[in-house]
Amino acid sequence: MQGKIEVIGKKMFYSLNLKTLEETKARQTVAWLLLLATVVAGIITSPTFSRSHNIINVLRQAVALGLVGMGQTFVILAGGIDLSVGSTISLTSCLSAGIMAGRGEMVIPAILITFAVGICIGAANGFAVSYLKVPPLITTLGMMTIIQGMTLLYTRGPVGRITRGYAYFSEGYIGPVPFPVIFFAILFALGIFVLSRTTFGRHLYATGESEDIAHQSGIKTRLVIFMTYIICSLSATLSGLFLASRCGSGDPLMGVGYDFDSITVVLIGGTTLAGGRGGLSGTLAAIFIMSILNNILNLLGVFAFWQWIVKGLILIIALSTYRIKY
Amino acid sequence: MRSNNSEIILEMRNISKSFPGVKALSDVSLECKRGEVLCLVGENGAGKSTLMKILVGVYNQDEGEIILRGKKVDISNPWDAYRSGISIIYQESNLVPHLSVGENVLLGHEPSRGFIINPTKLYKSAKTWLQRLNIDINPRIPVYKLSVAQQQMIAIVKALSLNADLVIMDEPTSSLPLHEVETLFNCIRALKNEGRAIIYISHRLEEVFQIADRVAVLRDGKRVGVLSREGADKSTLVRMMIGREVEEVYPEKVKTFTVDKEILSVENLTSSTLKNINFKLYRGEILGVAGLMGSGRTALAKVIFGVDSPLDGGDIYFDGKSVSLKDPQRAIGAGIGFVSENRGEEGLVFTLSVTKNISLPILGKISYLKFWLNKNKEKKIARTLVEELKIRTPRLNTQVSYLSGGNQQKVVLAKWLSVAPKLIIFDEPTRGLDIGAKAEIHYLIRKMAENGTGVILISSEIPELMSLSDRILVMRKGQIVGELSSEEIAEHRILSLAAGEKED
Amino acid sequence: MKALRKIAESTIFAYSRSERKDIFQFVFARYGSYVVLILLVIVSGILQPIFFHPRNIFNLLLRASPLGIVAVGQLIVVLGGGIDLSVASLMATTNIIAAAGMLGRNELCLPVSLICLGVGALVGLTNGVLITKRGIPPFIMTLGMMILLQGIRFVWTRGAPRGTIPSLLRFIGTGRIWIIPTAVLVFGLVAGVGAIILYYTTYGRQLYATGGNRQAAKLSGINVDKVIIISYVICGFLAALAGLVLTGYLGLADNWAGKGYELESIAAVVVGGAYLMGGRGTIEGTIAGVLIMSILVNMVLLLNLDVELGMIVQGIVLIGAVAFYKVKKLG
Repeated sequence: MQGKIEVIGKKMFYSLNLKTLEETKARQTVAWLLLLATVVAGIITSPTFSRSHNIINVLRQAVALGLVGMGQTFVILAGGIDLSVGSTISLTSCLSAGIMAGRGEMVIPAILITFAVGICIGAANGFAVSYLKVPPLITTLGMMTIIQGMTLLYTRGPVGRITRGYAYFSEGYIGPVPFPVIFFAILFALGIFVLSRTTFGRHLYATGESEDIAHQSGIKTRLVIFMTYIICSLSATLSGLFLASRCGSGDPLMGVGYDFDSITVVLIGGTTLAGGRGGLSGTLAAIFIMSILNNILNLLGVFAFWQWIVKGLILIIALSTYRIKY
Repeated sequence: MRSNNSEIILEMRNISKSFPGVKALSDVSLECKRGEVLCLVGENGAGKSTLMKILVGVYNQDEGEIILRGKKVDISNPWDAYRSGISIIYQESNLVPHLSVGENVLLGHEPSRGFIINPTKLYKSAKTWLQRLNIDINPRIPVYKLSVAQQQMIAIVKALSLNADLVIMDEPTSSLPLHEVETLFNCIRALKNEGRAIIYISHRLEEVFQIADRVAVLRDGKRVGVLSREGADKSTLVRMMIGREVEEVYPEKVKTFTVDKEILSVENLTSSTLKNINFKLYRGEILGVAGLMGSGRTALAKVIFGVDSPLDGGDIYFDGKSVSLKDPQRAIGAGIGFVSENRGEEGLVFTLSVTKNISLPILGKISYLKFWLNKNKEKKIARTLVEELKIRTPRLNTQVSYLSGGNQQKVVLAKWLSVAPKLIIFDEPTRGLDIGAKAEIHYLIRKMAENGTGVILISSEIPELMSLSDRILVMRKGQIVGELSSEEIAEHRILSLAAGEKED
Repeated sequence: MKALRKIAESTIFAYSRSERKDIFQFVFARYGSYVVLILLVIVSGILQPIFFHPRNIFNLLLRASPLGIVAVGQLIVVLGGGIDLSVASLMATTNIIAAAGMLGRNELCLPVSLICLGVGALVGLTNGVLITKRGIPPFIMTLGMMILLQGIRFVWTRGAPRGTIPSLLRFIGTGRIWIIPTAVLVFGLVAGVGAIILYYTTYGRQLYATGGNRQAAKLSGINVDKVIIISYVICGFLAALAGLVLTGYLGLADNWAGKGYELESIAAVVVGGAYLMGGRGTIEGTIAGVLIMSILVNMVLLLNLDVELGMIVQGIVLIGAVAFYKVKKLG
């Protein structure tokens, strides 16, 4: 009996021994362990943290970042980067709320138009990156400014009003669980399925690891890369729609910081910036880490601007401990 | 049977292709029949790989047409090639390291319903393909855990899994040990009997005679001729490949070297890739280093030059003193030069001019207070070296990317001559150069040795080693497995030592 | 006819189509920015004759100066194969420090400015060291630095920056010596020193070599890490200097001073013909790039268009320039 326990203990130890794990898996494991640590820290520092309404709050707050972080994972896995998601969120939140303007009959048209715009943004990014061969960083940095300009041309301040029904997207409940959390969970599961079980997912990994090799294997790498930008801006659009629903109106500053945050969660989640390695599971852990950290800082009543310092430090420290050559 | 077998499956007509500054192929035609192994031979840079990359759509030809099974086809990307039943095995691995063996084998044509992959079917099918070649590898393990030879076998399985009836193999044996070469040949014979056509690229003539039905020879981007196996003999082929007699290109080694002062002594050198290396090098000696790819040749050069792999143990004595060369700066300061195997990636800065490339290692010496450049001095040094080495460049400040391969390599040599090294290491100094440029580089290497520089020459081309070296070290798996003096140097001995076979 | 053909063959047409395309792109990458600049000036003058009014030229150059100073720093980083997204945040941070430290007193100008420049160099050093020694990709490192500085700034000022700008700094930002704006003199000095360093010193040569081919530079005995770290230090220093000039120009403390300058400086460098991969680019080209970007904004204002349109145009110019200059990989 004693021996058996010892064996099991050893097995558990080795499964956690990071050196025996593959690098990416190791970093995903680290992300989950960090999440555990953050939860523990939350429980210790704040008595209200573990109350059920707070946990539900954390989950709901994770949705906006979660959606866009998911899209960013696709782009980074294919070896790209998207800095334009933040401004896409701002634009789509303004557009949807502005068109809706509190009229129930306009909900569907507003959503459709917003999606169309989102797809256009993704297509423009994807076209510039995969067909014009402009580096992703430059493309999306330029696109960020273009979308910001367009948003400000549309409105310089909060705009529009959502309908009561549309508020269900952010406020609704199915049983005890908020609707957006379920919505996010379903999408996330779909994302994992796409990455692991479809030809697109497989080709995405191969393209990210080496575009040349993938191309030589007969994969349409340009199309794959193009699609990742569409997916990313669609997920940013969903995020914008969600935030508009939560705030009740659109705001040209709605998406500020989301580009940085989404990249942070992907990288902390263990996906390599060079592409081809990593996945959504690590991203999920990192999303929760970020939203719990926000929550703890709020609960502790820390000055809101500290969040930027914490985020900047987390990203820099995390990446400098990964110690791999990109 | 006979009529079936002689059906022409592929015809390439008058293919031409040029790259900036280079005419890679001019007016090359080629045809290949069902159930035939067509060997494509030629020196490095003769255009073999370019021709094949055009066939599989990695490059597009400037002129000419491809006729497949009697129909003119337009292959503009690899995707088209796969659909037309052409597959290729590259010299360097084209596997995705972090995907599993099975996923790699079926990459790009996974068994799927719609978009959804069926993993059970995928691994079953991968297993079948592996078994066909008698390869006992679990299809579920990731590729990066395999050895180079295993990876090469997987690449072959991958190409076969497309069920192509035209299979191209671009030097598939360059990283295979000899006994696995036999497995590969058996597999080629099996494919041939199934009525597929194989285009086999190699510069090892022994292989060609073992496997070929016909041999096509390319030289300097032109087709020199096609021979049947019966009509081909080694000396004819070599003459066709290099355009003159072997003795002209690789003259017999003239013995000039006599043991003089010891310049380099390496004792018990051990690192992550090297095991217990011992050797000495004398002034004016050319020491050849032979071995397969990945045998530790380049790692040894880099350790001596102070790049990358840190030492686990051992000593290096240079010029009589124990030295620890932790970075190239110190190595250069001590008087060591290193012509690396890849001049595009490690040798030259393509965005800079000839002058500026030559002066890179001596910036400290041609400046006041190591800060303010003395441009006149720089120009003077560069001009002297350009004239001495007969570098053909329009102007001194022409960007090196506009020079031909041979002249680029001479710029690399000029760069190292500018530091007046006591020891210079050449890693594949003539890779990808034409015959004329090769001869010039060989001449310069000899001249350096005659002037008293110690030379370490790493090369895959045995004739080059035999014609230049005073001594040859043979490496395998990070160890020195043999040392041959100039009297003992013989091609088959080097090869068998390098491959780890028993000497016969 | 034959003679005509001979002439044609002896010129550009002697090259194959792909070679012609290469040469065209090469020539355009080298001189295109000047051509575009001249065309832009002409078009601007036609669209709005006020463009040539001395007052407008003065304003144009005044606004271009801080951008020019950062762009020189950005160019140096880009030449080494990096990129710096933290410059704008650093400019704003300098603005906050200067406003809070100088308290409107001229005698505090010099010491506080030195502190600002020191902070800039220190930020650059941090970027450079972490990028080279820990292998963090440059844009992620500088993006993190951008957020970090932003957080420090807001925490320190509690969101509401205070302080007054002394008249001496105001003079540097807005004044003139004879008919030349002081800020332009500072920019000119920076560009001149930059050109000397890039073209006449060992460091400049090492920087071009490192950016052109890092491995080859390393194997030629160049300490590439040191070269790259110094490039970030210079960039941080110049961003701080630009922040000071901008502070003088704005005359107030603003947490978002310099917003958008990271994009504008990168765009100026790229429009000026530099390779983002490193190893190629010139000070002259960058100056042309700076003027192009500034004239675009100036024209949006002169034509009474929405300021936001300027942002859209700048974004398009950035993407378009990179797409257009994209020269095939050499070798």
